[in-house]
Amino acid sequence: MNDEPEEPAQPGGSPSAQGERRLRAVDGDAYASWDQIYSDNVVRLYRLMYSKVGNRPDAEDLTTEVFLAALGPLRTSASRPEVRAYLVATAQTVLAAFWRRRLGKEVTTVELAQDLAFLTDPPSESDAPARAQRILGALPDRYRRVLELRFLESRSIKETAQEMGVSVANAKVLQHRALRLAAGSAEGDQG
Amino acid sequence: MRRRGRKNDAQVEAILNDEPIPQGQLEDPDDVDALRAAIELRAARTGADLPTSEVIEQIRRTVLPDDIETAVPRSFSRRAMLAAGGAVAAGAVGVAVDRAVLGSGPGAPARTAASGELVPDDGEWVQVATAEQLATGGTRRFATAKLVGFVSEQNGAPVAVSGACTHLGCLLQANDQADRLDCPCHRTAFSPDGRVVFSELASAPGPLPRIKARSREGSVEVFVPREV
Repeated sequence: MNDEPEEPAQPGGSPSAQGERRLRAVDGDAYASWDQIYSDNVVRLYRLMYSKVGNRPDAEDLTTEVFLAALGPLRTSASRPEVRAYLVATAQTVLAAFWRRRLGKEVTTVELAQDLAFLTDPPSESDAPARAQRILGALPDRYRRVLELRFLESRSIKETAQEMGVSVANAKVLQHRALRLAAGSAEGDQG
Repeated sequence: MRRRGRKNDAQVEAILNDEPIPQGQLEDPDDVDALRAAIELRAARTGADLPTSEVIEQIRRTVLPDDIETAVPRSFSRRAMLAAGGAVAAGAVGVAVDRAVLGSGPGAPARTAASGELVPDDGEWVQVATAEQLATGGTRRFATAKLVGFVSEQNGAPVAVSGACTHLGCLLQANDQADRLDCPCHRTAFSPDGRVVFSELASAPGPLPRIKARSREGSVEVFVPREV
């Protein structure tokens, strides 16, 4: 996604905003308002949280929680890198608390350096197939196919079973084993 | 067919259905790893992770209330800003929170007892209502440069509490019909004197910190950080 504007997403446009902008060169680049902090970061933060939970309702809640917790202590004069560093640090705490409440285990975590890079320069949407391949690549054909059908093509378990010529129960077992195998390879990939 | 324990089925199904991950306990590390793989795979669909404009607006309405200029302290120290995340109670700037338990009645559960009072290091008494206004019942919202709160009359004396939810600092809204302060974020409500009335959160948040209040010559005043 090519959404890295040199200036905050919604420039104020007022003469005073212009004046401030010149001053910013000293302080990194800063924001002129809460709204700019929000507008410039909401999509990035939502995408990050979605990548951690894989569903939209939880991603929306977590994005909200992070902003609520982070906007209080932030000053609008904070520079863009400072704001993002703070958002990532807050996201780390919020996500950890989310998993502890839900499952008692931290299934995914926010990694400060890596995920700050995500916020600063979000991966392109066109990278998605490559990411999927990285997870599926090492799997035997049938395991790879069941995950493609279910997770990437959003087919039902019944459709998946038909497509693969197996029973529904069998498709469920295949899916389960395939995920475990994929987990193994994904782990190796992350190092 | 060998059937192994599949403890993460409900979670994996939720992800496939784009639903919130249901509560549960995952013990087997393999289940945790498999769920993580499911999340990564699901997020690896082109465009799946882009929020709709409705969602962006919805979040904006929650996190940027109209009166944010008065609600959010503007001068927080750089050190505090750089400290790792975590909910910070709005209005706690320059204010020491006295953790001493105040006035929990006999048998009152500790969780819902008033657990703190906001006492500024350098404060002043500020009028926020008249005694007449409070006498008519209900709660009155007040906002100073550093603090948002609600004041009401309880047993003939003015009682003031912080106006920020103790969960994540969302600004509470007075619900006079139900005689409580509602949090717009996570279905949590407080009584006008700060006790938790109900909460949908897994563990209820703490009570609202009290703010010193007094009634003097027909005016109701609260003790808040000095305005600079």
